[in-house]
Amino acid sequence: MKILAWLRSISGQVLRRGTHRLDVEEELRAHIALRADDMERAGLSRAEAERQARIEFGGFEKFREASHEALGGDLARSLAQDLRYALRMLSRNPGLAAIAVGSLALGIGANTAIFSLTNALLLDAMPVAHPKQLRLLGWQAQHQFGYKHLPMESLYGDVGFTKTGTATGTEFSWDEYEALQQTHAIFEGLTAYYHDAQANIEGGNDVERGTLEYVAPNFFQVLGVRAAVGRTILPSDGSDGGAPVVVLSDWLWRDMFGRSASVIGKRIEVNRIPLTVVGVAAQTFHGAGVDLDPALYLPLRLQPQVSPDQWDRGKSRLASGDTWWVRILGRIRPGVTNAQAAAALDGIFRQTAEATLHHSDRIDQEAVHLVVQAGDRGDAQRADTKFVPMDIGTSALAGLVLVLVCLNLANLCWPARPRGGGNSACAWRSARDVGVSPGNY
Amino acid sequence: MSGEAQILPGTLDLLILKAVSLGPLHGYGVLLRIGQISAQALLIEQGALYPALFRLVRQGLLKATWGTSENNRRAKFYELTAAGRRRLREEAAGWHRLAAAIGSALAAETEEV
Repeated sequence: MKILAWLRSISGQVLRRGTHRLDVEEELRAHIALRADDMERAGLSRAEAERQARIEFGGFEKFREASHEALGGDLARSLAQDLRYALRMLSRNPGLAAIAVGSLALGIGANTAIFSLTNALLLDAMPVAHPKQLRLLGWQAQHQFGYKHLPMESLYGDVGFTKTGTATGTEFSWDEYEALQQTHAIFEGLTAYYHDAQANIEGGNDVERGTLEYVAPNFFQVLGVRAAVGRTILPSDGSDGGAPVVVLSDWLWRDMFGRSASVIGKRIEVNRIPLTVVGVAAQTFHGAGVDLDPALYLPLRLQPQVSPDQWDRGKSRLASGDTWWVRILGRIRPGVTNAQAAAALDGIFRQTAEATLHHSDRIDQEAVHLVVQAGDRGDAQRADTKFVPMDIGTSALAGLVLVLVCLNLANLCWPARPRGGGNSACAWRSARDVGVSPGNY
Repeated sequence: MSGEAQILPGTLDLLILKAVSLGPLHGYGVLLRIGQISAQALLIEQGALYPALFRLVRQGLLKATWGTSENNRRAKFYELTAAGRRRLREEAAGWHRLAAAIGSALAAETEEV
């Protein structure tokens, strides 16, 4: 109750500070005028009466300030005084100030960095149409001895091994993608993509390095991502006869072409392969991966020419059922659950695996199955299982660092407070000083 | 000035509450009323009245409204709230007990000890 009244009076003080100041002054002046009236009636001249009244009143400024304090303290004014005091003290101890500022910066910086990662990994949906409708496909297989007992011959991606003897992955062969795409009853659309390592990109009068995102012809349509300029990659770009085209990311458009609209139709070279720019992806879109921020989006079929595999030069991964490399995102039909979708697609998935895998004899005993999981964060989703415990750990650690920094600073300041002071108003003011000036000495 | 006494710390609030309990007053009126009811025996520094008045307002013991004085000046008038009336009763009782105790202590003679 007391605290409530105090808070109300403080907030009232801040809100109506101007009125209070005038009110108090007017009231004190009224007192002096009334006293002077009485003295005038007793026979003094007006001027003399006012002079006497002022003397009897005592120190006008002193009582006015005391009145403000009594009304709840002139908060803004004393805060400004405290801030000035803090700055003076900081400039008197630049070393201590530097330590204070530096350690706070580190503590806050660490927390910001960790939170950005948390945000990208766990919280942010991709800036696409209806992201909650997206699903990321994956598979799981029983395993006993690691990679060499998985049925696929080469795998571009991470495989997670659980303690219960299950291997999981999110990469598929092109054959699997094409087979799964036929199941229209479950998904409104399925699309595939693949991130490649850094490539050399030449264009304008500039050379940049950036990640490539190879995408199926329907990638932009299924995700509902528009072009900022020109057009996105279209299904008509999928046929082998079409001219090799490329879509720029916003950052490459900015860095290489200064966001010029005349970029459409320009030729750039990626790993010395000439490509024609047909558009720029929406500024908010950063690809389907975690933190990769691809430079370019190009049709998957260009992979053998633009990013040929070192040990298999010229051989197309598209033609190899034994190479599992593309990730598949789908837009699920409303009302279909993940379990229903996985069950409906599992048959086709296993049939195709048996037909295209060289070691298909391993499939039955190792029980490979299709998995359907949320895809609103692209393949950040698959990072979840691996990164969540780690991320919680690092977040906690970063939080702890900040707490330690604060304790450290409090430690530096506290013994430095001048002793004495005595009354509670002084103590409250000291506490405020610590609040405004960590480097106080 | 042998007839005048400095007031004890903490008693100014009590005097203000008492003065205002007899009817709404502006600040200068409070001063006059205290002088009148104490037979001019108590000295109050005039300006010191105001921080005390504002403190009592903030504690909810007094309420204040702007009005016009008898000689037509704008002034703020104070009156007791219910809480102020209660506080005055308690403080007065406490003061009477204290005064009686101090009085009897000072009246003690050697034979009584």
